[in-house]
Amino acid sequence: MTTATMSYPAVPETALPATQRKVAIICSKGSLDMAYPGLILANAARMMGIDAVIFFTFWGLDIVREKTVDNLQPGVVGNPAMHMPTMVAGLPGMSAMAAKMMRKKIAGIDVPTIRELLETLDEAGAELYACQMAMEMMDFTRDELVPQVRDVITAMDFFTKSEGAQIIFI
Amino acid sequence: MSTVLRNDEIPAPWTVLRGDEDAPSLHEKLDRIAAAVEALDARRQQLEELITDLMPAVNGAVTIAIRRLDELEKDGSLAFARSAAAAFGRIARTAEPERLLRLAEGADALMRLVELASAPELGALLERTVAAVREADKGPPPKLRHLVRATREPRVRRGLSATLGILRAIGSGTRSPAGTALVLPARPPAPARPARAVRAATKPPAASHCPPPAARGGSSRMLAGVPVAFDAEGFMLDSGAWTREIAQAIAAEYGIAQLTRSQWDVIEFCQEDARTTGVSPGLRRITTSLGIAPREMYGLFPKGPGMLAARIAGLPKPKSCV
Repeated sequence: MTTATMSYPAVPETALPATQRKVAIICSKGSLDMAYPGLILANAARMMGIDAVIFFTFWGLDIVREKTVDNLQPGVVGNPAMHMPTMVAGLPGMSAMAAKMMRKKIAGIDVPTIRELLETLDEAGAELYACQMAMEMMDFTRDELVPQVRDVITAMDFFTKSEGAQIIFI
Repeated sequence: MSTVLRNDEIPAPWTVLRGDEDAPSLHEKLDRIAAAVEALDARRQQLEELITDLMPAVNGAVTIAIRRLDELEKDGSLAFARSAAAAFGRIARTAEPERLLRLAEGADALMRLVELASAPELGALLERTVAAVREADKGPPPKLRHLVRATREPRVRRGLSATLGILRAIGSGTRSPAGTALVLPARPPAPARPARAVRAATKPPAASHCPPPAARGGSSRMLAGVPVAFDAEGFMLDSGAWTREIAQAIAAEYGIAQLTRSQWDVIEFCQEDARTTGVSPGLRRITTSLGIAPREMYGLFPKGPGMLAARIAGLPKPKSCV
């Protein structure tokens, strides 16, 4: 809530901003449709010269796990935007089919895959972190994560790193 | 007037007179002719008498008829008939011939219906029904249990059975498309709703690929000795006014003292791509097209390669998200 009232100096028209703008994005969901928004926003921020921090927690860890990063599934059940009856959406293979269709569509408009996005973000200077507590809860180890993740940090560490940033929770 | 001959007894003259006849037979024939003339005269007299006798009666009838017509005219019956005739005329003029034919074919059934409707039993039934409806209207509506109890009454049961029969008849009538059911002529197709067309017409024209950014909040400043107009986000308003000197001046404002060959490559690609596609290329398009890593772009255009390359190239802000 506080982020809305915090004021940042307007970006000067011609020269570099006097104060560096920053966003911190918390990715807490591991479905394909929840992975893209956070990563795209972070990438857009970096393209504009805004610092970006991404914190992956709970199911969001799937976005940065080697085992799952390349086959994230869109959430079809209980997703009203899928325009599919829950009974149908719950059928076996429905999620995989939706994922296939979505990936095809994504490739068609030249949107990078999740892995590519993670690589781009890393190269662009966005900072990717994994949540320590969630890692422990799910018995994940540091080795299971993609190399773009800089560190496994605590919630308090996250607040240190996101100081002065606008925080977005996804 | 001894005898009056019947019509078939009066001989025709050509059967009577022939040139080669002798005097006695001629006489005889003349007698017969005289008799025929007499008979004809007698008939004329009879007719005259008859007319004289009939005249008062005919006069009376005509007078009565005229009086009757006058009465009809006065009480409006004739006016009704005239207007009905006019209405039928209109129907005949406007209706399609096949509908009129159908009406004529149905006339027989209609007449049967009228006969049925005018049967005395039906009149009595209607009277009873009306009376029952009036009776039912009097008190408060009966409770459900009263209605259920009422079904014990044989009369009620018979009535219900009849009602069910009526419902069945209506149901079967709507089921069968031909014969018993009324076939309504197909509706004329409704005129196409113009809404879609209107919407399409009012839709703003597709944005031209390089729209001039809104001048609102823009500014103009001297770069490389010429005034250059920018929008609020620092993108040149007029790509046509771009020169390499201006590009270098813009780059200097964003901390790039001297544009290198690699940076010029990117700038030139952006301009070329914008010329062919009509839009400023996004960062991903630049990196994949030129085969350079995103990391490199952040090195060439620090602090925002997504916007800086377009800014220096004198292009509008890229619309791409990646």
